[in-house]
Amino acid sequence: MGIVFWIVLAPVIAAALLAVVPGIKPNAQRTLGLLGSAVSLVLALIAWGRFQYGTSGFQEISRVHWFTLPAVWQQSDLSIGLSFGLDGLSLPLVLLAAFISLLAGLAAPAREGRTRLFHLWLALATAGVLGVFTAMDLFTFLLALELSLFSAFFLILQFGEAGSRKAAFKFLLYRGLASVLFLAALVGLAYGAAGGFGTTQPDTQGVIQGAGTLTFDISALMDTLHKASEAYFIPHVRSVLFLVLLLGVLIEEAFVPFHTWLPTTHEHSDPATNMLIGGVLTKTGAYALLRFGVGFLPGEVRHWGVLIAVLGVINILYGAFAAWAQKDWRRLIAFGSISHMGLVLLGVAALNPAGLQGAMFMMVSSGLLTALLFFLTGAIQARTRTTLIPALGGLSKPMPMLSGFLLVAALGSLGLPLTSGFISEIQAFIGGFGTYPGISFVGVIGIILSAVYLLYAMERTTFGPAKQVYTGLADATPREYVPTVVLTALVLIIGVYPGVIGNLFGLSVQALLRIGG
Amino acid sequence: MSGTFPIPTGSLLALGAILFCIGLYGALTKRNLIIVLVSIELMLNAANINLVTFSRLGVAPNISGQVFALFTITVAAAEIAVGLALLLAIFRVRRTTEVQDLDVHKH
Amino acid sequence: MVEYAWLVPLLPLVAYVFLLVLGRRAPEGIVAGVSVVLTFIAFLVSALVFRSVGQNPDLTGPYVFHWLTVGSKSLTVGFEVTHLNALMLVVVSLVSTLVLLFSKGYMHGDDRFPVFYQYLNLFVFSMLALVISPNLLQLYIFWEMVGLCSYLLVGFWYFKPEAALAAKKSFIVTRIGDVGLFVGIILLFLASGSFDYSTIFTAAAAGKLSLGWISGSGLVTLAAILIFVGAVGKSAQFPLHVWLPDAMEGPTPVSALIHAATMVAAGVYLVARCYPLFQLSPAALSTVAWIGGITALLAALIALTQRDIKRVIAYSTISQLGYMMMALGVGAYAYGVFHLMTHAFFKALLFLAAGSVIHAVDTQDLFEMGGLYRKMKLTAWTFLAGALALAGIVPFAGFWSKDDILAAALESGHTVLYAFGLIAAFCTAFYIFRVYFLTFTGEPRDPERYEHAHEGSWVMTLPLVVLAVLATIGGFFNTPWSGYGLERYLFADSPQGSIGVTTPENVGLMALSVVVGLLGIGLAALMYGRRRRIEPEKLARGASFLYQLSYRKFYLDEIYYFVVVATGKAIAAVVDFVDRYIIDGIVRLVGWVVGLVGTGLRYTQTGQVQAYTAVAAFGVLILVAWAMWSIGGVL
Repeated sequence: MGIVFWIVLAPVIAAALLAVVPGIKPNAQRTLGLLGSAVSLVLALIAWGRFQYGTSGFQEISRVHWFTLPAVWQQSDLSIGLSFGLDGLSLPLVLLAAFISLLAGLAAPAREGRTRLFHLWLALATAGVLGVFTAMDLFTFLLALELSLFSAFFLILQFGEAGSRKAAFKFLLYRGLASVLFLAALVGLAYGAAGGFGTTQPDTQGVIQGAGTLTFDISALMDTLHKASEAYFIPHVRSVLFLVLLLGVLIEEAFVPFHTWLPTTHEHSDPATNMLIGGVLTKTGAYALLRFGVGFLPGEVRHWGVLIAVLGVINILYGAFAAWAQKDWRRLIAFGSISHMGLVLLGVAALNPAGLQGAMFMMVSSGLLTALLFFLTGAIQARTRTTLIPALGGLSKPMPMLSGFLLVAALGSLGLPLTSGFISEIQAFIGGFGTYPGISFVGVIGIILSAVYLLYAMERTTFGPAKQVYTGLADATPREYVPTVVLTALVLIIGVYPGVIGNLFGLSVQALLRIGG
Repeated sequence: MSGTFPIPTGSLLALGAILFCIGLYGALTKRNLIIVLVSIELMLNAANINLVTFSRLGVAPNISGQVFALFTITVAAAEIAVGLALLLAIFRVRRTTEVQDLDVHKH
Repeated sequence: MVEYAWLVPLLPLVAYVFLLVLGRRAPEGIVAGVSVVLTFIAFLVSALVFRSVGQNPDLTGPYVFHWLTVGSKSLTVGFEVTHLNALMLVVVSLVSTLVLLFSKGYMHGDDRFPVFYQYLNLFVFSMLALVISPNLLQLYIFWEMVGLCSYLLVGFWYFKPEAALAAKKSFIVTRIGDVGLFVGIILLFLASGSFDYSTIFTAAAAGKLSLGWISGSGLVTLAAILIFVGAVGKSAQFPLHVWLPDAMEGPTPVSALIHAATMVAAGVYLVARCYPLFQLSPAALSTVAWIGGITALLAALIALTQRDIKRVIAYSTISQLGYMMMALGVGAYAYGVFHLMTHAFFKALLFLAAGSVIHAVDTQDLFEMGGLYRKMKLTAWTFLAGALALAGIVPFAGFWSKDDILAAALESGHTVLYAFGLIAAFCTAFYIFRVYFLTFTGEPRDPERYEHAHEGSWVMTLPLVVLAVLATIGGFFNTPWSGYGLERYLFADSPQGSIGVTTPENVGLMALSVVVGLLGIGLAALMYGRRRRIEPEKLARGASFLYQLSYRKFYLDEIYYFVVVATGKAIAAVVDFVDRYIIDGIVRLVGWVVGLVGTGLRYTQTGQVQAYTAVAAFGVLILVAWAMWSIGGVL
């Protein structure tokens, strides 16, 4: 049992202890929950320290066998179990998830008698996303996805504001549907890789190593699907499977027009939940697109490239325009995040190193910035009792530090250089212009629009004459400085020296593309 | 098989079918729960007749059919005991044994 | 010395970090002292770099470090010194030092005095780093950073709604231009595989720049124009000039440093830096020339009637930047840069002098001033030096550079642009002396303000004097008496001298432009001077339409508001509507239909066990029938 196993398991153990240990005080409950994420984070940092930059495959592999389904297909057995590993794509996201979960836990206010439950669900959701990002086989991936789904559902349902019930069910239905589509597409692909959708029997084909064996192992599937010839896998079926996967990604990632769950969810959830959902949970779909879309079916990505790129640009512009019209900071951040993720889609569609690397950068950057924005607006809400932009104003006077950090977060979001937003944006656009210059030309309008909606909101929030009702409100407390400073520092570090995570992406991105090329 | 008058398989199956239909009719139409329970017993017994028939006169005569029938009789006895107990309990609470009145699961 | 050029941007960065650590309650003396001293050292270093570049024309290449790997390409950061940016370093660090000193007096007593200095230091660092960048990516990074500093400093008095609006407007309008630059450098990167100037220019000169969807020459033109779009935004050229006058909401030292001498000149610097690219594309060059010419004239016309002293000077800045662009566009590379330098001196001077006036009378309205000469002799004299330089009166700095530009325009056959320039020169002389007469001569229009007026302390007057000297003699760097030193210095960047045209001194043209300038001054004197002959009010009423056109800035703000802002807001509103009521509406409709079906099906739940059984029995019957039929033969 390797280190990665414990990265995922630590929050589960914390959750189990929270569930069974009786009679501990709320503060101790909180500490226990935080300890789970903290252990994950420390282990992830250790894994980062030990990371072998020279290899592109999974490292630090840990497998737990559970049971074997005998002779399921062509007399081959199917091994079911948990297997975890890290590669250049997953490690940055694991670090992101561990960081943000820990900070979300720190950010969560004490709750009357419900601290235990909150941290329990938070720990389980953390374990879920960590599992998603480290999964080395489809079973683990889907299982972890479900874990994160229902844990987050309870976080929204039980700890949100008025109207959170509807939001929680919307969240559950949408992402549940996405999970079903993932299940269908991924099992279909595994089946297809084993020759299940061939015009010829796999045993007569013979040439493809591993053909005829049903496996859920991601690396093995990447190999087989790459080598699979046309006769071996009926193209139409492959296209349909890809489109099912893509649809799942679009729903999971809240892409237009399947996005309405995201603003609703954010609008009705508490800041800590929003940090987790906006910072981490909305990155699972894009990760699936990279891992399975580009990893398994690069040919399909190329074939549907124009569609994906156009969808990306639609998201960039739609998200930005919609954000401009929002009156609630939380809905604005949600649409801003949709706009960011549109850029991820464009980068993936480009199918070149710059585009994919930009997409990865954007996932991390958007995660950090969205979490930071949600934390800061949450802190402001705790004081002013509102996140409605027209009700705010002149906050620089009573709370200069919070306003200052909010400005940094906004500037990062609009892609100012020396923040993580810029380096993501420029790489994604380099990729985009390399493959689809015309579509990308339309997409760059999003750069202007992001400045428009964020600065509009800033002007109405922190600038302007100080409002009477807000005089005397306190600035950031020491406890609030921790998440703020950590997230801001990460945004700036990545912006100033992007190599800090860029070095991780390099080989893995090339591995994805070499298999594709 | 000498000395016995063979009853044709068809007749036995027809008997089973007729019994089953009577039972089904009773179970679907009678208003009194006791009669409904009795009708269910009729259907079970129809099944028993079929089991015994095929055990003796089937394509591959075999004792297991009769064993199954014995099982069914036992299970039916247990079932009727449980059924009557439930019926009594219902009667105590609702003061009725009319099937139509027992619609607490409506909508 | 060149290898120590990195010290130049680093010193202001050190000052910034130091002030950041000191915090918001640091004493003013320390804050200003540290900033001024470090920036002054940066100036000394850049002067040494400038000298050593001049003495040793064989430059050692860019000093770069690996930054990020993208695919097989390595992106680098570092610094590079050329003749052009050595000059820029000197100009920027010198003006910065003076402005930092001036601010000590101007911002005295402000609540956020240390924050102001933090922002200024961050700006100086970014501007110097922009200048010294060896590649377009790094330039773009600091290009945005100076934009950020501009945003922060324009909105420094954040509690004023106008300042907040102006800050936002300046950032967004320049960002429109930045997107052009962004796309331009991406295309160049894709075509050449590098952001480095030298690699791109070499590839472009060899005709090796190409992309699949566009021809080589087409790409060069497209990229050059996109880069120019960036310059248009930053240098406030028509049609993106609208942000600069509003940016005057910021403190006046900011206007002097950022919005006159340095940041707005970054656009000109960018075009000059990418000149090898522009030279390959006549279309791009003539775009630059025409935009520059139009801007020079348009802004000068608007400046004629503005009432706010800072806005007059702001429009003047736009107009002068137009001259620089025009110079670059007609091929007079050296003259554009020359004018950039002289303009930095005399415009910073004008702004600081205006700041001194505003500090004294606490108003920006020209018609509330008057007669201040008696109270502020030093400010008046230095302002006069700046005004003469701007008006292009021999022998002040502006004369030499502006005259060179006009001559180059005529020589290169751009007669219309020459005419534009000459008309603008006339207007320039008029509007700046209108300001001078209204401010310093005549009777005080607002006696109360007049009473309080006084000259600032030495921290405010010393920069004025230094800049006044520079505005007076700054032009001699590029005259026959100095052997056209600046031209030769700049041309060393490309030994063949292919980097632009020069024109022989044409005494006739010189005389003409001086006469035009004097005419402008004369007209201003007639309208606003001591012996006024023409009533400005009557003239304004007489030519009401023209007056309104100029006073309302050709209604461009209003047009933009309706065409761009309102449209954008309308789209946003439509998108929001579609989102809430159509997309989410469909989602809710689906939910509602599912709910309806569920409600309908609920009524099949009668609670009658016999009904359920009947359905089950019927179902079994169908199944059995289907099984028998499919097995065959029975039914």
